[in-house]
Amino acid sequence: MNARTEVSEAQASEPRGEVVSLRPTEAPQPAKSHMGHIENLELKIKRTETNSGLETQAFYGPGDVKIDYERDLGDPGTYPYTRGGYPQMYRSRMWTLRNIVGYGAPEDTRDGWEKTLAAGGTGLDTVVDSLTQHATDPDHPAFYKEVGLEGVSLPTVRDVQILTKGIDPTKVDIAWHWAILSYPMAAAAAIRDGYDLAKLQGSNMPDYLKLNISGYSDLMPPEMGHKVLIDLLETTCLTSPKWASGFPQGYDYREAGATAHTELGVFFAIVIKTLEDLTARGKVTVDDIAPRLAWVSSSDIDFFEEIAKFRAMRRMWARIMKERFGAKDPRSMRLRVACHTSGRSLVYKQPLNNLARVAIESVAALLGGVQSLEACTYDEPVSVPTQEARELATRTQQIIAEEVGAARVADPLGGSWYIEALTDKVEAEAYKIMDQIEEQGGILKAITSGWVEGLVDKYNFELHKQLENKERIIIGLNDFVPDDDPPTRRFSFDRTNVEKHVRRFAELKQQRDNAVLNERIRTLYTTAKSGQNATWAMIDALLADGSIGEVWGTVRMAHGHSYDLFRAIETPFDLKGL
Amino acid sequence: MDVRETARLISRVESGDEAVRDRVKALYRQGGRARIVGISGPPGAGKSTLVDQLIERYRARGLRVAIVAIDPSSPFSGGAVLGDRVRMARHATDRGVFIRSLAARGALGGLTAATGDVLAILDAAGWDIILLETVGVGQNEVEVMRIVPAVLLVQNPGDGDAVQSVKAGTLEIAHIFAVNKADMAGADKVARNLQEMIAHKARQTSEGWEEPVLLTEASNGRGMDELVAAIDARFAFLDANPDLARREEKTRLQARIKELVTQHIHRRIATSVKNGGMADLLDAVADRVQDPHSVAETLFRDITA
Amino acid sequence: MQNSTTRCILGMVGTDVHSKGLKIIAQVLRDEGFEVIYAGDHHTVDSIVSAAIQEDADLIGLSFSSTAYVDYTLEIVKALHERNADDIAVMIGGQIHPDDHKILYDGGVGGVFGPGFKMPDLFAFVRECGARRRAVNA
Repeated sequence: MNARTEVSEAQASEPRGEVVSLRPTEAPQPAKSHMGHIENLELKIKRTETNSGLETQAFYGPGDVKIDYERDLGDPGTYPYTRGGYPQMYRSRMWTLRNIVGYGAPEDTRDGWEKTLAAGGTGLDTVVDSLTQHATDPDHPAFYKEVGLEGVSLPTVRDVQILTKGIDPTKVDIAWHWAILSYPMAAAAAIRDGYDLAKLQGSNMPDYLKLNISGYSDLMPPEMGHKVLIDLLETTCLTSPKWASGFPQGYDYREAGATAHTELGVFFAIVIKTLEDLTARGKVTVDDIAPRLAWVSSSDIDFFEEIAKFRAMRRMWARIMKERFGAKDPRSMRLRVACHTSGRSLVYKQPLNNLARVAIESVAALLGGVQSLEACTYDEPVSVPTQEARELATRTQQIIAEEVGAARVADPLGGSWYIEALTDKVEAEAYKIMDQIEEQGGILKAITSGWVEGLVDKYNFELHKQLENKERIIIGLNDFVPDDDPPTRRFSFDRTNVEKHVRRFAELKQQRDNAVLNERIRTLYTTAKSGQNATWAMIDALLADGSIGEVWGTVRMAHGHSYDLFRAIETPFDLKGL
Repeated sequence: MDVRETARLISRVESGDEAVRDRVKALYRQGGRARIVGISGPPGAGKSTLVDQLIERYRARGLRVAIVAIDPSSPFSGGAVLGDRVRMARHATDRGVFIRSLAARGALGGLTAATGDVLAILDAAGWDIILLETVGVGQNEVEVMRIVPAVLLVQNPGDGDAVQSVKAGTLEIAHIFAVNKADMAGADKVARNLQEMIAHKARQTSEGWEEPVLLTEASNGRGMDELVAAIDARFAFLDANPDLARREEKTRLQARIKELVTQHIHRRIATSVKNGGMADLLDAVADRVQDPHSVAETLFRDITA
Repeated sequence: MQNSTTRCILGMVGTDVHSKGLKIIAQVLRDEGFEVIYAGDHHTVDSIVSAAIQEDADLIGLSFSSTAYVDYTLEIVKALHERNADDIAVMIGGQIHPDDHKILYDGGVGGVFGPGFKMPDLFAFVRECGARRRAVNA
């Protein structure tokens, strides 16, 4: 996948002297047969705790739960929505089958979108490359190697226009799996293409705080992230009422190593803080914003715990919206959930096993009542997904829809003593986390101090020990581990478009009206610095062909941070006198 | 001495390599220019974030800054995770900043001696400011601060930390106190407690020097300019009182030299009492045939003969 | 006690955010008695090499889950060479594809620990890097 570079050519001929090397000295053996031998297996239960560490009983009976149906459950589509957001659930509306396409230059991803549309996908999704996710331009001196890998490179509005050419965003729902500047970019592209922002459809994942706690704490200083997010939600709500914000985004934090109840505890704390500060401004009420949010979650491998989690999530949301925020509109209290099955739960060795894992996680999500589902491909741990794997992921969902009957009845496990007890338990543990966050002075402090990320580190270390001791078994990872590696098919694509794209980007910087852009950047800087809502100023700068690195860098500076995350470049703009 | 050479020399000194001893002796004699500041405090007080801010300010003045960050070794495995430099990562490519992480290496002891040598190396290599950061948890880590002329103690605003510092003896060795994360509840109270304890100290850390207690928020830079000013004031005080400064220096050196002598003795004992000789001696004492004093006297005679 | 004088610096280069595995490795190596300098993520080639030299590490351990690891790793080996630090070994782990082993070893990488690697092999390699450098310095 990586072309030989000049560096590697040179290196091949230079020995490194006395360093240790593990290079195998024998000739590679021919690949062994793929099948391990199958013993007479005696299965023994080792673990009685859930994936998240909650203890369970051998069985549950009526004495184990006190169910007040009206207060704690309600029918599907009735407050507190524990049993589902809609009375008919999937009978009236199937979940949206999402299939993410994103790689290379905008042209490459557009190509992938055409294939998705032809194969029967009903929504368009894209994920951006890690540079775009970091609001870093493709000409960054240190990281240009990563342009277009594992996501599409979208540094300017023009690139969004190339990707969406001919697609009417007021009619077609595009999901942008991306946080920083995603709405401003989509809005700017819509403006340029002459569409009415009031009719703009689509969604993004603007959870800025989750960026901080899911692996790169410097990426989003919490105070700045919180402020920019409230500004963004306010603008989105007032400007594009049909736009859905995938917030909170619990998926990445889960994947980093959070438990089900930790996801709920941490992200409810984030939601509460965000809505409090947003509604306090007086421009947007809870009934304006809450119906336009959707919780982005994962579906992990512990089948029953995930179902319990989704149910607890809806109940907590309904109660918090009604009791804490005084919501009147039922749509504020009824949470929608967008789900992606867990990539982390999949195993590298014997990857076909992942078909089973993903299928079970998908069924859990549906029994949990999610509104959209994206299933991982079985080869996720091995490489960027191949077309075949993608197709199988789609077929899994279709089998579930047509053959398994998982969609036939709403909340089919409702009333199960086990599921109700587990729902209560996950909810209780989530509230404990929220209390702990309060004790620390609130979610922003808990994030800044590293406590929130520390929960993940703790869980990971425990898990590691449990796997080493074989207290916890993961097939193909620490038990029944085949000797050989999975087949080596890899996804690759022609980099020609990416190279053109990078050149085109450099040309744009020369050809645009830099004087106008500089003015817009200055306006953005002063607006952001003064504490006003700078979302429109960001859009204006993007419309003047400012890049995401330039626009976000200016916002960072206005908040007292360095222009470039990595401190390799300084602002090229004239901000004298500001 | 370039960075590579400095770093390698530090490694050899750390591992007790006697072959570089002469080199280190010469380097000590060449030094004396660098301003050395010690930063200690309980875990979680935000020391590394604070150090990161100090680096920024010193660099803005054009000063070259070296940081030695000491973390404890695991008492079980002898290993360590040294994670301080992550908090200073933004200075990673600044050639005017040198960051070195050291593990306390527990039972091997000699932390003070090794650290003294590391400081001598960095001083001679031309670094203007040397920041020595330790986690003030163990006796060793507290002791090492005795060799530094300006010691900053960083506290948490949480309860109980002020009491901890009294126990560990850090109250007597700190010249400046900072209550960090000052936006949190309890910060003012801790600052007041510290001021009271300082006023009632049995012995002054530095005669004539009034220890300031500052409130800081290293994560956003508040109070940091005042902290730098307090450190400047400490050095100005020493410059203005050369006799006092010299007396203190000599006391510090005495501590270092004492530890070096102790190290020598331990090494000599180890080499002179071989082949189970020590075990035999210990058996004799355990059987009450010999007593501890007599054995010690014998050993001392043997190694000084 | 032998292990405790082996210094290994662990870090990630590029915009990869998946640092959780690396944190586990840091703790595991510590529990095995090694000294681990945890340098964190989002390094450039220059910053991780500078850190390794300042720390006089016996080896650099890099973790990758993005696909640009061949380019980054070989650049690091090259930078070590240019800065006269050839004796610092390089090992990488994470989502390393078996097809890339040859180009990595040819390029000067000492150890590749892809998915499914065994901890004892990692320990042996780290130990060997420390021992080798001590022998050279003696």
